Amino acid sequence: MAEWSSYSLSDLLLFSLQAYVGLFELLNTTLWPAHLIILVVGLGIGLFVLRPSDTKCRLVWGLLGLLWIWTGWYFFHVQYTVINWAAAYVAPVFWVQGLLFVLFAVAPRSPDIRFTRTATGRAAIVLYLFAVVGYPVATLALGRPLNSVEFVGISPDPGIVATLAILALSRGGFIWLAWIVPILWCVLTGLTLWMLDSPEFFIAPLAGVVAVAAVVAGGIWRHPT
Amino acid sequence: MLVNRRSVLKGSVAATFAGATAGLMPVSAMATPLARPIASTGEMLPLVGLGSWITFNVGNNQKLLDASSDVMAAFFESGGRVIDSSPMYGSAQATIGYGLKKLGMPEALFSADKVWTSSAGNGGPQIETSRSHWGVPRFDLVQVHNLVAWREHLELLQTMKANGDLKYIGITTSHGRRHADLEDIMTSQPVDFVQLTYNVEDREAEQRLLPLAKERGIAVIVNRPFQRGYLVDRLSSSPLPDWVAETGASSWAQFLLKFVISHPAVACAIPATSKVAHVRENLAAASGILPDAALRRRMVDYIGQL
Repeated sequence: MAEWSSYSLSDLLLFSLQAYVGLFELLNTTLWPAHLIILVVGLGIGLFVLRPSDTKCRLVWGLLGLLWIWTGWYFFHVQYTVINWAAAYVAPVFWVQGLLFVLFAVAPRSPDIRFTRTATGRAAIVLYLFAVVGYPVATLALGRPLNSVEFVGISPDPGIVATLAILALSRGGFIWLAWIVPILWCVLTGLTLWMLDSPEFFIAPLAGVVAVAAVVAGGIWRHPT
Repeated sequence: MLVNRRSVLKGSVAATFAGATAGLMPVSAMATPLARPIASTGEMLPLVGLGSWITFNVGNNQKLLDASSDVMAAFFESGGRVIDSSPMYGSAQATIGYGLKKLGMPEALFSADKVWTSSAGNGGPQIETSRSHWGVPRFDLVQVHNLVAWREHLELLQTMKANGDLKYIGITTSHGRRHADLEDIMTSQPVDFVQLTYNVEDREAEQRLLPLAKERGIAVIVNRPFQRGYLVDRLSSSPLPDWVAETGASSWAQFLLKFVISHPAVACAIPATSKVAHVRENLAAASGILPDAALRRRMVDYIGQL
């Protein structure tokens, strides 16, 4: 224990910002033009959320589950682990989170996704649109080369922001369980980018704060249906 | 024993001439950094090597792989030999392997890697995996990384050395950790090398470890000579003192490296870099005059005042 306490956070960082950004360049090159399909699916989910039904809710949970399982496998297990062996330990966490969403999709009483014309609802929709459309623009504006910007479904951070937005609109028995990993990831990715001196370090943590603030303000956790 | 530049140059010119006539090496390979012998065999090692922590962990990005191999090419052209890595360093070993293959496996290479696993049984397979990443027939040096399971791994390394599967064995620490344990190992175990952190600000090793290494004929590899770049960044806003020019140092990086490699117990410092200009600058620090004891004290005092 005494030995580990002598390490600073930056001592545990195995790679440079250049290598980290290079990882997204590789992902984008390899997976293009999947980005276009993901964009269409992402916007489609947004429409589902605006006019939800039980079937649409289940579909959204199922797609979110797939997103997390895919991210855990391709991003963490296949790609990120090449420069960060610790990513191999993160992948199962994403799989478990994905399975939780799949369970939401098939459970007899699936958590409800409900858009309301309230501050909470509007904040969640803005957050969702930011994740799907605004995130790559934001990373571009903060200095990322075009070929290495981050897209929902391709890299984890925008996907987690999209997840948080949907969770902010959701209510139901165990929905709180689904908040834990995305919030922890917002902290972890923020710390990682901060240690790498990346100007983007604040985006995911800020999205987490907005999502939590939206649900706290809306009192969703206090009045589950 | 410090080999003077003229004697190294003589040998190098002869070797380079032989290489050049055979069409194997570029004329730029005439670079001749200062070298010290490994105490256990007398084999000469240039005083500046190349680390791979962070800088060579570039994954599968082709552009960055090629940039890393450019750094390695400049390193060998400048007379470098020792490249150090570890299974802990992400894809660094594979990057080194890529560069070595691209450069035609330079003969000058002195391959230094580590075993880093808490499981004694995994040590052998891990070393074999590392070797295949590098693409070398065998490692020159394998070190027990950060003293992890050191008893078991040293036993394995001694067996491998006896079988001719590697030339030297060693053990490492960094950031000044577990110096007392390292001292015990240096006293009780037959290691050829130790690797530790030593720089103008982190000088604890001067008290016991460096004198002990000298006494027991253990070669010392120094990691973090720039505190992972922090020292160079911090000093860059201050003027380089005029009096250091007598050593040939023309930058803070060279100032810092000359301080480290001028300690008589140090065999080699292994700064890591991802820039060709920096690797050339680093190797150039192992030329000219090395600071004597008085100048080393002056260097410490000067840094202390900044």
